[in-house]
Amino acid sequence: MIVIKNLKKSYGGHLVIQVPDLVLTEGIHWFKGANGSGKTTFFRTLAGMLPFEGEITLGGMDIRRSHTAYRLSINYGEAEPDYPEFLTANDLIQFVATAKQAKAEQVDQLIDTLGIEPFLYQPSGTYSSGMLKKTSLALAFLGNPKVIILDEPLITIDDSTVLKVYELVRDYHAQGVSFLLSSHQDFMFEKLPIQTVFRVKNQSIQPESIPTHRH
Amino acid sequence: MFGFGILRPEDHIALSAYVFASPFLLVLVFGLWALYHLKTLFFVRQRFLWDSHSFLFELVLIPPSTRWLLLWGIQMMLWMPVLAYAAFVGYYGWKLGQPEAVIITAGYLLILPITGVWAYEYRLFRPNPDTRLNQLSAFFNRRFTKPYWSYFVLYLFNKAPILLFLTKVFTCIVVVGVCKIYPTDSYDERLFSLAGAAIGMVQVVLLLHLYEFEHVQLPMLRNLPFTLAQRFYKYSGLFALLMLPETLFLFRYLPKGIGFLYIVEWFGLLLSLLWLIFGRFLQKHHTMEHLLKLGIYTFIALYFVIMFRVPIWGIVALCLGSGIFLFHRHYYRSEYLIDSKALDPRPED
Repeated sequence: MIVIKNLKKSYGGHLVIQVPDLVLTEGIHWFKGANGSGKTTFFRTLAGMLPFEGEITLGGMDIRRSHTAYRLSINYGEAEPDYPEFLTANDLIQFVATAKQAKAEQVDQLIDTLGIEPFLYQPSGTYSSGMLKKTSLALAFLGNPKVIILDEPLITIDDSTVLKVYELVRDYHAQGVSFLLSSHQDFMFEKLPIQTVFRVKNQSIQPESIPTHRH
Repeated sequence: MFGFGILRPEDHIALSAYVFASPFLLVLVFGLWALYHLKTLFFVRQRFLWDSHSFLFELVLIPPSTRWLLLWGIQMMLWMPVLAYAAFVGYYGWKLGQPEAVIITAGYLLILPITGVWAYEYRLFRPNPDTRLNQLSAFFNRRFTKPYWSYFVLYLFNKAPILLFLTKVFTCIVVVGVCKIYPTDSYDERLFSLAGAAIGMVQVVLLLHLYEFEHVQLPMLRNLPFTLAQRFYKYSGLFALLMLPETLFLFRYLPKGIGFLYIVEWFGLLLSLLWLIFGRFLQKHHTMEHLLKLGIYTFIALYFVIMFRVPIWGIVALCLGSGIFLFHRHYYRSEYLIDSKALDPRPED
């Protein structure tokens, strides 16, 4: 599904992540790694938000040649979202929903599921970190992507929302959507049918064994 | 004070004599100082909002009189450039026989910082802004969804209102100035073209804000499935909106002898310059120092091109073509880099 070849991402000569060859098949993939290990840079690169050296294709679509189709197929939820303080969750959701060709019913359902309605029309400058996270999660699920990247999706949200995120991931996965999830802790996604686990460390990505104590 | 580093000391003294003798000019100067005062208030307000500065809210535990004195001291420190300059010109104003104006100025300079103390005190006891104004904005937020083109304009109003105001005041004064000068001598359309080039270059700081705003606060834009053509139209619309005040002023004060076709060319010149500058941002991350050099060199080049009577449509075509080329080539390669070392050329460049 996602094929990565000779990926190299540096900031001003400082190598952040290097992936010589990696194929991510359909399913749910979990990327573990300490803070600053390069998970977010890797995810942002896959989402088409950062320039890089190398090749990335998704379902045969090249990230550089098929700008629009590629980006229609891959969504990204920020680890620590920071939106313009004067924009409301509604402004952001409507803008992204239009771009990602999401239906109105899907928008309403996500707002309801993630409990965004109470602050939907407030400027994001007044949001707590949990409210910002819920907004970023809603944006990540909009449209009909083939892949959804969720960067630290469970941090700062309350327990009931964590369960709803699990449900959303399961539902979308059942419809054929693949997920790339990240966490800097080792106990986040045992409740999900994880297909592969990767460790992001020393500027590289290595496969790891899947935790056995799944529920 | 704006010309502090440009004017000679005797010019400042002459200016002070002129200002103290004219109530209108004195009010104008008070207005400029009030703008500076507002800027200091915004600066302190922003610091209160930073998470790393949340300890400042502990100030409420200090006895009121001590706290007011502390806040007044902070405001006076921020007010120091104005106080120093006012003391300098006030001394000469007094010597030149304008004691009433000097006393009024001194009173103004001592009273205005007190409003700062009041504003900080208000914020300290209301750390979470939730006012009637917010209810009003909530009313509009429920009825209207903000369109994309409004994001950057709202950003400027929120984050850089003084910059926006002063930039637009300056450029609109330039437009009105050339419109008034044009009939007084045998000028031709090159006068307007030079003004257009200067106005275009002045927007470079606003475009730096646009570049930073989209990279820092809306990085998701590059994940959205817009075609480059769609993005081009969105940016063109935004640039046209940014240039609207100058264009309206040109229409309002347009002297006889300037044709409608030329106005279209003039507007095209502004848009093409904005595209060229924006394309350069996408091509390479610029520091402010790089930026000023870029603006000055480009203006010098444009000056000669215009004076040698190169047709405006030719300049428009060249600048717009270059801007679109840079946009097409570098939009997805563009990256906001904070570390100055990262300004070195990338291997792929």
